[in-house]
Amino acid sequence: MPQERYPKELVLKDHKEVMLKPVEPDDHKRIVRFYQDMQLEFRWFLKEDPCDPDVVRKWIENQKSGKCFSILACYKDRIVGHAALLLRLYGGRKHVGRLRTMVAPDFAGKRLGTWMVFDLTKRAMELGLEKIRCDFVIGVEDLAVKAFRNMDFVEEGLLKHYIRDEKGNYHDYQIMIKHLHKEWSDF
Amino acid sequence: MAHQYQKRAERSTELGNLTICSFCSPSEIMSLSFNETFTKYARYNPIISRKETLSDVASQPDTNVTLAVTDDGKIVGFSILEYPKPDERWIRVGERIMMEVSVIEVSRLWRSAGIAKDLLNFLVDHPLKEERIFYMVGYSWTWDMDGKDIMPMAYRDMMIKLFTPFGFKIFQTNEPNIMLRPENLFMARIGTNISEKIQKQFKLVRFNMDT
Repeated sequence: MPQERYPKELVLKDHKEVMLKPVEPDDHKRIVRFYQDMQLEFRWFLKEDPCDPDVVRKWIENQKSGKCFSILACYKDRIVGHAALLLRLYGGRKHVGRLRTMVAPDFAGKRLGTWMVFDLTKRAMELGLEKIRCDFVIGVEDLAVKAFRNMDFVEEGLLKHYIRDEKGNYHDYQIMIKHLHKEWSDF
Repeated sequence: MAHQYQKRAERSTELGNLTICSFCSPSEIMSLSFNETFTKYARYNPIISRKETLSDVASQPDTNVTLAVTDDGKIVGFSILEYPKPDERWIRVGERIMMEVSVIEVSRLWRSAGIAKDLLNFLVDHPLKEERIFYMVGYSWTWDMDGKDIMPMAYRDMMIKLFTPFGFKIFQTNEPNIMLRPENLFMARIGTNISEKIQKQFKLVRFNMDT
């Protein structure tokens, strides 16, 4: 079971030591607080309000039912990152996982997001997924686009003027995909 | 003359009897023959294909070369525990602290008989094991997945199951070669006499934060 391989110890660029661990029911309050402590501009583009305890409760239920696998990055007692691999258990998207990552602003730029994406990529491979998808808001998440490109995600589609920020401005929406190769080629 | 820590064990398999022997000397290795199955396949090249290479390694200090040998003197499995090369990052943990399980290989014909486990058992039964950090790196491009007919993540799991009973744990690292593929693997066993200071250094080196 993958849970047996946690917690995972990381050292970030600034020498801070962080632990990765899967989300558990006891984490509910801490996850809500993690998002409540974050300014609106950082959580605006999520599809549901993460400050709503019921939303987080549903996320935790999804983890139990296998619809998602999510991890927390903890620095001492504080949650500083939350990432999820969202899964479809039925139909034509079963082979694709979607990534959602969130890092506390004071932990951005220290490669924590990269480590969480690497971890969930391994999980996606263990689950036999063929692709993982992540979406970005152009003009807001450009640094993330660059980081994901460095992790072999490729731009696959752009929705023009698709998404609005908290001030009402329209932005392009970039879909990025990483193909998970199950074996080496014969070349 | 046999090494003072050398151990031998007889092992019977469906294909015949084997002797597992640790701390093999260069002369012992040169007196044996290399099984013809350690040859190149279309998608797999064994890391070592000449017994002279094994012999050279066995002459290095503290190195343990453990072999699986048939009754008629053919090497059908081998494993090496040695210090890392001078250009590897693990040197920075400290002088003669890290030792790598650099090779563990069983001839295709003799696989699935538990020989790798026997090899590893004798390999890490080293007089310095509590004074050293033993480690292994698993690069998926060196794995003979055709021979096992399994996918990389399943091969990775197989490696984890092989090493875990011997006290190895998975550690995260940003070592570039390991980071190249998600299924690549880094495991280590920290000896009980390794100080807190060295353990801290090991952690920093894993993330290239020691300089």
